Amino acid sequence: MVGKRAVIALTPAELLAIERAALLLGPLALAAVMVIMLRPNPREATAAMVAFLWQLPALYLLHLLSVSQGWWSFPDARNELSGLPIDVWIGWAIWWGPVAMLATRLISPVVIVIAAVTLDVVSMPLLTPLVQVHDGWWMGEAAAVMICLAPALTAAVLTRDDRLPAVRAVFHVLGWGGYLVLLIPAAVLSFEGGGLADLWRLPTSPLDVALALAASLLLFVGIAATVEFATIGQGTPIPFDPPKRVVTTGPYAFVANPMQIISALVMLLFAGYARSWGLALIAVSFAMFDAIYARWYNTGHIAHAMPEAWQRFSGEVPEWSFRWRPFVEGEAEVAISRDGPARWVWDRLWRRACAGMTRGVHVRQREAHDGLRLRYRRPNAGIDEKGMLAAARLLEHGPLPLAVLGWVMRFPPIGAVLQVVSGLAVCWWRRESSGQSRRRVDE
Amino acid sequence: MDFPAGYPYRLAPLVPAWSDGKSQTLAALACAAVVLALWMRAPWSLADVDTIALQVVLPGSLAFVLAFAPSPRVLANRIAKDLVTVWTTLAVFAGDRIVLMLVAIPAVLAVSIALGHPRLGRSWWGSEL
Repeated sequence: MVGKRAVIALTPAELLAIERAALLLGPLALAAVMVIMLRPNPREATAAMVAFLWQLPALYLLHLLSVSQGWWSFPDARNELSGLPIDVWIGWAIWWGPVAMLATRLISPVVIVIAAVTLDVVSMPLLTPLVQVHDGWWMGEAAAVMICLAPALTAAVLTRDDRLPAVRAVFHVLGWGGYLVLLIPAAVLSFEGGGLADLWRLPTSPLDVALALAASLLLFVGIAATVEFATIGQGTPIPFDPPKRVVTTGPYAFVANPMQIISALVMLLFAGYARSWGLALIAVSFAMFDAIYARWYNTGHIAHAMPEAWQRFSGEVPEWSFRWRPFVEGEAEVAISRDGPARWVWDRLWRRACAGMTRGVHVRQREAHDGLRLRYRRPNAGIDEKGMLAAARLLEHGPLPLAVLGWVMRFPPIGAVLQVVSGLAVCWWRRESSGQSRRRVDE
Repeated sequence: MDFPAGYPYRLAPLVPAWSDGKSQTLAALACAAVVLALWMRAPWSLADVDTIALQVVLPGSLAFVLAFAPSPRVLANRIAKDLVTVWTTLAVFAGDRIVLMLVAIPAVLAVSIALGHPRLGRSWWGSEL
């Protein structure tokens, strides 16, 4: 009763401030208690960090969606980013990040999701004046689970169990993409008095078009490097969940630190596009981190763990500039069908136009166990690709522009479309060749 | 795939370094900084409790937690941990400019790498564990 009177005695501004402080410090205290009580191992701690890092851009994106769809709003305009209260945002990220992840020690992730949604449904309407829910806000709750909670828990559990690195790589690409194209520009441009619209606008000059194209191309290379870490190295770009071998293929055959260079360059291009000194400062900050700390981390950890492989790689591949031709370690084996479109391309085009690229490539006739009509293997690098992915790997034996074409071809949606096209080409070739055989018999 | 056991880190649970003298000093520094920052913001108003939580208590708590975090094996990482703890402690005085302190974190990490080499750094933080 006394407590209720005390709440009534509070002014709306005081009640609001207490709500905001509680929503920040409550999850923070809970996370600290769970860390002390549960004593996570380093992999669990990394998983908790992954969940937290996922939440920041995901919750910001959810907020932007909420503003556009009118699900809910935060009327208070202090300590906010684009209308999202920063304290609530951080508290929410801890709640659905480390707290949810550490709770998987005690209960199943499905139960955690159900409990989180139930708590939201009950508490959100009660949190006035902090948040005002509008008609259809439960749609926003569903979006929150799909964009924020479920992916964060999935990425965290996979990281904890060291499973499905390719799926983890997708989360890292999306998550880091969220920081690069959404969160960091939003925070910096707001700090400068502008907004995300300064970056997310249509190009207005040839320079803008050139900057946008260069940034897109670089992002492609960054994605290719992340995929290489996952598929070849069975790890991720974050230093606490690294690959389990020295990755020397894909973009790493040309430059030792492609992701670091690309992050800094993309931010610099964004700075030019948005005319922002703040983003330029972030690019410098990235470059400093990459040139000093990340470089030291590589030599201090990977070189210690895998000294021979690291020495061979670092002796051949420059850290901050691109080789024109790749560093290829060991022999590659290509299994190619006796006839068909792949053989036609190999005999008529590849060996003539790309003579230098067949060095170190051992070619043999395709056998039944090879599967598709073209197979590329490099056992010492852990590569075994078929179909168009194998063709893309062959392009990586060429100079940098051809290799970039190969990385674009290996980008999953593009690779899938190209595989379908190549399948149609094989069908067409079969029909044509059977028609020719029939005509010969008739003659 | 061959990689060393425990790569890239130890497999044992993370246990707070409650009894470590340097950790205690850093944690005491964080507490003192929070008290000082609160004193500098007096007189307090209940309507500002959220700003205090965000700009003082949050960085102070993070600094406290970092102070007791287990000591990394590698020298430069140990230096980085201590410097970031001090940097986070100083953030309680930054107010709205805390964003700039975040941007400067790579510079703090760069300093930790630089300190990992000279005799001064090794004498204070010890060699590789």
